[in-house]
Amino acid sequence: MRDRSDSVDDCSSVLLVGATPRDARIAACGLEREGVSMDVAADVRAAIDRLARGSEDQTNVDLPDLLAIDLTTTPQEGLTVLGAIRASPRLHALPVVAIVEQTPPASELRTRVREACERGVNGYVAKPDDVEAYAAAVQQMATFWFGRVSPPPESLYSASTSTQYD
Amino acid sequence: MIDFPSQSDDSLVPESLRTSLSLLSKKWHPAIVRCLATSEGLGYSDIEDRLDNISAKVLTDALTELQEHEIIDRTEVSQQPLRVRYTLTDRGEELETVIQSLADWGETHLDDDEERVVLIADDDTRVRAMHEAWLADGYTVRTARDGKETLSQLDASVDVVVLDRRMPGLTGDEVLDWLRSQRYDTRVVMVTAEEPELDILDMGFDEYLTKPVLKADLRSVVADLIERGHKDGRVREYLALRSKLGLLEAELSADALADDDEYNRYLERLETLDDDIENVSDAAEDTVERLELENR
Repeated sequence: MRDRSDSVDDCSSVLLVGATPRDARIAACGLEREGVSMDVAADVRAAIDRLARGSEDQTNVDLPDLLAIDLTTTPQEGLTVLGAIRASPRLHALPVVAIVEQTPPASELRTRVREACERGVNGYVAKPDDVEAYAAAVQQMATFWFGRVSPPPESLYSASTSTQYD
Repeated sequence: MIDFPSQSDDSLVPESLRTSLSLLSKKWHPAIVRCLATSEGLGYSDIEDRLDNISAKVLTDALTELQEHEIIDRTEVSQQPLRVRYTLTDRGEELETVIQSLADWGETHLDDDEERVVLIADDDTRVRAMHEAWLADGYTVRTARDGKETLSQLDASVDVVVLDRRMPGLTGDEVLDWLRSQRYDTRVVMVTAEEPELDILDMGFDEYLTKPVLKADLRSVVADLIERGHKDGRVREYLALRSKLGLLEAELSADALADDDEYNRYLERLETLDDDIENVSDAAEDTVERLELENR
């Protein structure tokens, strides 16, 4: 376990999967305004490695409180991670938010959002083209998840252990 | 009475079969026959005691029907007070052997009927198809051609993963780390072209096969891992460790191993587990036998 000060421990965190470096920076700005930290995983491999490392520890401090999957550029990466999480005995309840394009016609957007929801996304954020508007959207999402919405009283993560290989 | 589809050809389901099946499919009949078979004859209340929850009316009716078919005999032992004794007739004894073979058949074939899922992850199309064909008769087989597909195919219903170590995207090692970190109750056999090195000690697989894998080896390892799924976590850990250490001992020189701290640490762990688990060879007879044969 990493040694952390209390203030850092209390900080909520988001793992962003599949975003371009530019979009990731904008999202980080929006989250910073809410005091939420962010980790980036560019692809499935990075996300899985990150989550696997975070899951080894029973305390969950190294796990994100929310996963954001950017479906705008490489949707398959985010959806694969989503599938792996929903099937996992340990992380199946981790909340996941999808980030989708705002530009496509409403009907197409609905189809994409519905598809993502059927695979287990808890909500979505439509990404505005404007940089400041996007940062604001991410900030509002953080306000909602970490300010408005209270987490369930029990940990979301299953800490049950089967065979441990040390 | 069992409702068979009406059909003109009585030779398929003759009257005699219908009648005997309907006798056997009654809720209490097989139980009464079996409890009489294990005794020298029982009184009414003895039977009532042995069959929990049976009502007096239902028991009386069942006994009457079995008597009508001459499956059981009713003898009055005394008149005042009335005491009777039920025994199996010769044909009752025959019926009991039929019931027993039905039970045996069920144990052999129905208990195992629970779907066993094997996931084969290999980027080599031909190897994947071959391994799938080898296992398709006994298991529900899923396949994946790279690490990402393996993730998509993986869920809690997978019993065994046959995992290629080198796959594009996400390697077998990474998939294995994910699977263990997520507490999947899944057994893993690592399949690889590489000879095992000391780095395998830290990996969470249960078994390791070196390519090219032989049909008989893959089948016996998968069958063994399915069995291990029923066993206690410590027995599984013991067997996985024993398999790993056996591999290394076969591959590397004794000197190289003796100098390796990690190897010694795991060796100690194996001994601790061996002491903890009461009679390992009983707990996992087949595996121990197979490992001993392999390491010879």
